[in-house]
Amino acid sequence: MRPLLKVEELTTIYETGNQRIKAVNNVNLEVFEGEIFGIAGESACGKTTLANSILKMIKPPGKIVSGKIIFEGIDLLSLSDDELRKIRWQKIAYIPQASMNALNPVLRIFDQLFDVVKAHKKDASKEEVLKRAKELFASVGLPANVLKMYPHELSGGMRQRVIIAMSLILNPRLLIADEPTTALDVVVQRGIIQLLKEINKKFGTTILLITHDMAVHAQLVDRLAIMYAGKIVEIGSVFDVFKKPLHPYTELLIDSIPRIGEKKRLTGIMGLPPDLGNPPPGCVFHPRCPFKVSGKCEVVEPSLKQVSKNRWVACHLIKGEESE
Amino acid sequence: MSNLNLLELKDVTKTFTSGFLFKKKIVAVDNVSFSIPREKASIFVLAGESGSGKSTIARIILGFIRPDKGEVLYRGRNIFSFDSKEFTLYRKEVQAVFQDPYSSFNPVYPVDHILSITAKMISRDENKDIDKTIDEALISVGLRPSEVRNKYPYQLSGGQKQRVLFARALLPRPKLIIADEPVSMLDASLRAEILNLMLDLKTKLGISFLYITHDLSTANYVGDYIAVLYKGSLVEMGPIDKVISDPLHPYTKLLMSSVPVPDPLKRWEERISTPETEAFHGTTSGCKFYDRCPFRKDECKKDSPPLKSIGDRFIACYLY
Amino acid sequence: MEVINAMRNNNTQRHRTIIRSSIPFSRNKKIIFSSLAYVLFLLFSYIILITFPPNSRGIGYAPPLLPPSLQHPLGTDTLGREILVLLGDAILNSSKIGLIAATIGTLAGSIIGFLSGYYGGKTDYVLRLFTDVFLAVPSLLFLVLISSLVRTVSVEGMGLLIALFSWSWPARQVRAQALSLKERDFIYLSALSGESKIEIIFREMMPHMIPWMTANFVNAFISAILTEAGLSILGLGPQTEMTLGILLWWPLNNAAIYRGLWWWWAPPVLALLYLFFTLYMLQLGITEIINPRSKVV
Repeated sequence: MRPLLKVEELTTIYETGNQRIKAVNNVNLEVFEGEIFGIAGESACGKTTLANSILKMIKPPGKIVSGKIIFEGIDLLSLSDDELRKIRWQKIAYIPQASMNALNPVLRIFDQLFDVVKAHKKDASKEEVLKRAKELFASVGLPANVLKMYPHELSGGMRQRVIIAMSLILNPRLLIADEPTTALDVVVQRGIIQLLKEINKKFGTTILLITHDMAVHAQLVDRLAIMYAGKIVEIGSVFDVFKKPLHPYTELLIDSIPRIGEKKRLTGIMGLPPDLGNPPPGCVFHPRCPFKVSGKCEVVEPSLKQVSKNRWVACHLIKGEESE
Repeated sequence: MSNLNLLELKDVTKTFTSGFLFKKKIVAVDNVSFSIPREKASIFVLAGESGSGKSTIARIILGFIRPDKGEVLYRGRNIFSFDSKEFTLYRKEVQAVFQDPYSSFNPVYPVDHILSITAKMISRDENKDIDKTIDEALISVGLRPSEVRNKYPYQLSGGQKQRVLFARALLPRPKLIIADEPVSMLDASLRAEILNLMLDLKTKLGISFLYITHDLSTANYVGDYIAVLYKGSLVEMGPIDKVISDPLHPYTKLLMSSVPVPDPLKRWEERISTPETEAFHGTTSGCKFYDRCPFRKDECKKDSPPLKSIGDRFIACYLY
Repeated sequence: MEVINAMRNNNTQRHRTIIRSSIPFSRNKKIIFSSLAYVLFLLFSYIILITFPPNSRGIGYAPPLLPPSLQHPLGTDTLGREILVLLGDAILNSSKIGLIAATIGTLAGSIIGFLSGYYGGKTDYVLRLFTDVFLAVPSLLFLVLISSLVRTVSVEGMGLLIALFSWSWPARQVRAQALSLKERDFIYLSALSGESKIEIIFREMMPHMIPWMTANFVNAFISAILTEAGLSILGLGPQTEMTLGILLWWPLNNAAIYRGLWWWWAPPVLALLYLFFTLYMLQLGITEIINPRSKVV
């Protein structure tokens, strides 16, 4: 089956002064239609840069230096700005971090929705948009009177729902959401997670979920990719990744999450995240890896290899890629 | 008698008025009472979401805000009636670590600056070498002095900064540390070290903590006792294992069931109702959780339920 | 965003912290260049005054309205005075006025603004009202009014007069700074670490306010010089001494442009422009340091 979105050998760098940082380092990914795909990783692992790169929204000092983003068979990176604009919001919608705070404070919700539609479909009429907005609001659990309100009159959770509705208004095939639940209270968070699941089921929207919160991934996604220092270190179904993590980083990361009901001492991961301007040779995780094989891990960078159907790992310890 | 308590809050209430002409009153802290015992070091969790009043309570305890009603007793004495000498002592014995390691340092100075200042809090009385004291404190939080001394805040990672802040809090030899969301801005893999640090400081140095958080998973990991706040009021209190495994108050139940479990095999089955109603801190009578409570009755609307004790737990709900 | 933060953490050269010492000041090209340009200007004026005899600024020193020559580099004015010498006097006196007005204005304004923001409540209410009134009032009109009532005013007096309207903008800026600073986590922690209120104000807050105060100072300086020029052109300046404004008043009141006596009106105009651009560049440099984002990478 052909993937809806295929990221091929994507590398995005940031260049300032004398430093050249590979924020996204040779990333390969496939997202299939109808699934919820999660990208997990801690701060500065590159997941937001990856999301921005997909829609070619990287501004200087950042630069996409190589790779392809193939969506519906076309490489997005080869498109002009005008052509890309037709894809953004209509085919691929993007909810950036903290976007619920980015609503225009001086416009009513409906006006903002209408502006979005008008920007992409010049011939849209207010009646059409109103009808669609009402339908959509009902789907996301918002009462229709919210359309007449201003953003400051709404709570954080409601604003997030508005943002989600806004992103769906042109019926995109793919929704990319970056930290949609961070900064929300836990009860509200549950509502949003539920909502995303329902949207996926009801409308068939493919969702690319980016968050550092592993528990959210566990509750929501079908498949999961783990990022570390700009590279993908593991991909698999959410069950496989959580129950049988292959990459040492994944295993340690999952182990460092406190779980209610368990009181055993957590270990965390020793050491510090790497200096992206001067990354360690070989496997970028090796200075912190308790399983490293001296001689190999410090010298040779492991590439992402498929170990079984729907399972990829970038680690020398995992069989399935003997040939080097 | 209150002499048995390290810290005790009695009916503490704080109201904020906002707006110029149309004065809006927000009761941030509504008649909150709890106590942290003295005999054994413990970690007391103050749990609540945004708008629950937990940060205001922290500031009141630290003496930055005066409550409108009620008392804050340290070892039995009201802190707001302290003279300057007693208050100086209070500041030594009750310290704090805040949420944001980035804004907790004055970016103009290296991290040594605040460490030396704090170290001088005790060095005025005792003749001790300040450098040595600082180094010892840094080591006790798992840092090598050489990796941190004379560095500017931007040169250290979030986890390192937070450890330095704990070291700073330890310098005056406190009995109680108010930790306001100390790990929520750190990566998951770094949280464990800070949480473990807190546990170690409790068992090895006998320091009690007031751990303020919205994250029940970390609360469960470090806490001994928990008080749950909702919109400024205390709704449930008790030993943490009991409250978490068997929540009594409808809000606590909702809270516990909404914590996402990091296990794909344990996904939520029921759907919760959408969406939450607007945050409303008005001076309405009755239980604040009325609008969202699946068990509400008419009597809940009349007067807000008082805190009742049931065994070793406290609960403010008419169901009990 | 996080990637850039990570980079910043590793980059010891460029850092986004607000001033910790004068090092960022001395590395900024605009500041170095403009400061040098201004100092040279002052030096130039001083040299002129030493070189030429004191009576060259007196009436009848030379034949009137002579065009520039080797003997009289900028020619003479209608009273036979050496224009180059008058220019030297003017530059120094205008700078003096700028200095007096800016110093008093920035200091007084910063103190008022700080008290207002730090204490809040009624103090803030009263001081803010006071500040806003002075901000809203059209300063030039009031200065015209006051100047015309006061018969003669000295250079120093002019400085003081302009200072009256130079303090309100610094007050507002410093108030905003104080308001934002006092709520920062590190200020609370300083209190918890045993620092007294005075120590917190001067040790913790001041380093953050100094860059703003400096920018305000330069701003007030330029503004004062231009205000003085405006008043003097109207004939309301310190007539007994020479300032750039008065140096302009003479040719304007004697139809110098019409008569083609360019060496009479061009020097003060050019001097004012030079001062303006130099000091404006200085201000841009300072602003760049305060707000690194304004600088394009």
